[in-house]
Amino acid sequence: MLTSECLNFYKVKLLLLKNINEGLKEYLAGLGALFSFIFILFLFKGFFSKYLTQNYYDKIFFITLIISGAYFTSHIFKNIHKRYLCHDWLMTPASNLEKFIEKILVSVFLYPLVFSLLFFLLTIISYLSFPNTLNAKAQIFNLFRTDILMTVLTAVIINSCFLPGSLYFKKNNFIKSVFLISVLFIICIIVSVLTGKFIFQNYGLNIHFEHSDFIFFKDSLGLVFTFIKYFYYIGLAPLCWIITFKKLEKIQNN
Amino acid sequence: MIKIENLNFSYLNKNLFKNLSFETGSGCVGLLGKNGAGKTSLLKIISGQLFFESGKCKVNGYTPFKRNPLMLEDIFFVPEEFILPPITAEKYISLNSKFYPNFDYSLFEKNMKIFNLDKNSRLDLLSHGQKKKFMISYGCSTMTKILLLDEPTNGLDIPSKKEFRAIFTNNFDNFRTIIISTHNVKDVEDLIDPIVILDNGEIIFKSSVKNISEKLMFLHIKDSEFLKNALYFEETKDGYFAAFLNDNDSNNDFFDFEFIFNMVLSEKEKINKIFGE
Repeated sequence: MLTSECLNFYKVKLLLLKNINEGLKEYLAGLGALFSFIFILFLFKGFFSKYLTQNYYDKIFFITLIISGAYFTSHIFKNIHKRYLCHDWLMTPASNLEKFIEKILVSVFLYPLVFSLLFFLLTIISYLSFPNTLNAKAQIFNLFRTDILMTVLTAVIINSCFLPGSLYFKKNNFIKSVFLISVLFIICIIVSVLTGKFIFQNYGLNIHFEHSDFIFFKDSLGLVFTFIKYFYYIGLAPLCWIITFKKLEKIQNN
Repeated sequence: MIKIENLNFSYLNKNLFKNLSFETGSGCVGLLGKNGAGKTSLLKIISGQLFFESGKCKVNGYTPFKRNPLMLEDIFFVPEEFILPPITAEKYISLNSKFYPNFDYSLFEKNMKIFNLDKNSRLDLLSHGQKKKFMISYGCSTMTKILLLDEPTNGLDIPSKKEFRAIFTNNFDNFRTIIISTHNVKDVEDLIDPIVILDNGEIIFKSSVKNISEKLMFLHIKDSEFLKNALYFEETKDGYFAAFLNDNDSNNDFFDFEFIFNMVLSEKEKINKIFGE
């Protein structure tokens, strides 16, 4: 296939508009329920402690963004698994790549942004209404802070990790994805511990910090941690996208 | 436009198509068959929704399951069952028609008018028949070279079936290939030519109406004595409908696709001999 047939950003835009407009009612219902829940948490906090701080917002923002984002992403390809909905997905004249990019844009990037904006608006409502109704003080959530941007970036990465689950599983995608990611995480920890144990066992148990070999390994470990850090922030999300895209192509040809 | 050669396809471990071959150019093909004969599967293979194991299938020169966007722009499939989003018909068209470069909005409006549908009505609130009518109106207006309709008259009431025929009679262009899959032969008999009969995953009959008229003669007879020469007959209230070899280039008393369909299914070997398959 020619590149122009494979990737046309006009078609991605059309798919995006189609997705948002056709799913608007469902999205509004979901976000409405979620933000009603968050607002109830704010009400409780305002009622009992009389003060809604930035610190409180940060905790609620982090937890709700990560969990709701992961849940939303793990259902993003639900149309493919449904008998009467997969027809529209398959027959829409756009390439697999265009359809895939549109889904990534909605779930991985657009969702954290829309969520952040709505959270910000909710804190404005709290700021304006709480002093008069609950006699409580509420701050406005400051979106433009480095730690908030890092939270959004984390959401982008976590959402990406939940993308493959939306294709690999047909039912209970979220629960199964959580389970799978937990298992993979535990396996990674076990492999790391066993590798470390294996390396250091060869050098005896009486290792001192001044020991040149240990310093060599300490440097190597530093390198490993740097690699893991960069992999987490730069490599993990694209890796999940590639895995998801490969699975998408495989599903569509079977 | 559609060329299938020695196609093999299995569904749920059942060998549905074995060395199936089929070719069609422009025209309105009637794909007839009993329930479970493989009509929907064949349409899904042609539209690229199902992956076949071996053989060849080319649609406008493309292998369908690869779903090249250029192929998808020129093929529209109206399925038997589908779900429409909770938006108005007008909004649906504004969002989806842009994917089809030859979409004809005036034709869409005309079709909606024939079907008595309101552009501002919400699609998810329509009845099953109305949804189907909307999808048929939209599918016809995309002006794709290939239009596939799976049981299009299922769920339509009697006036709607008449409107459906009106849409196809008025809007049929010679450049298009339309495949109508149905087991309700009566609903589409004025529209289809040629007819293809599918049975147990096999194409057991393919012929144009002209060819059938030239080779067979359909008579309404009252005396059972004449039936001994008949290829096939069905009893009626006042006699028999019977099919004979048309040796004298005689005119038909009737031309009924349902009768032909039943005849082909029950007299496969005789019909194959006559039509040279």
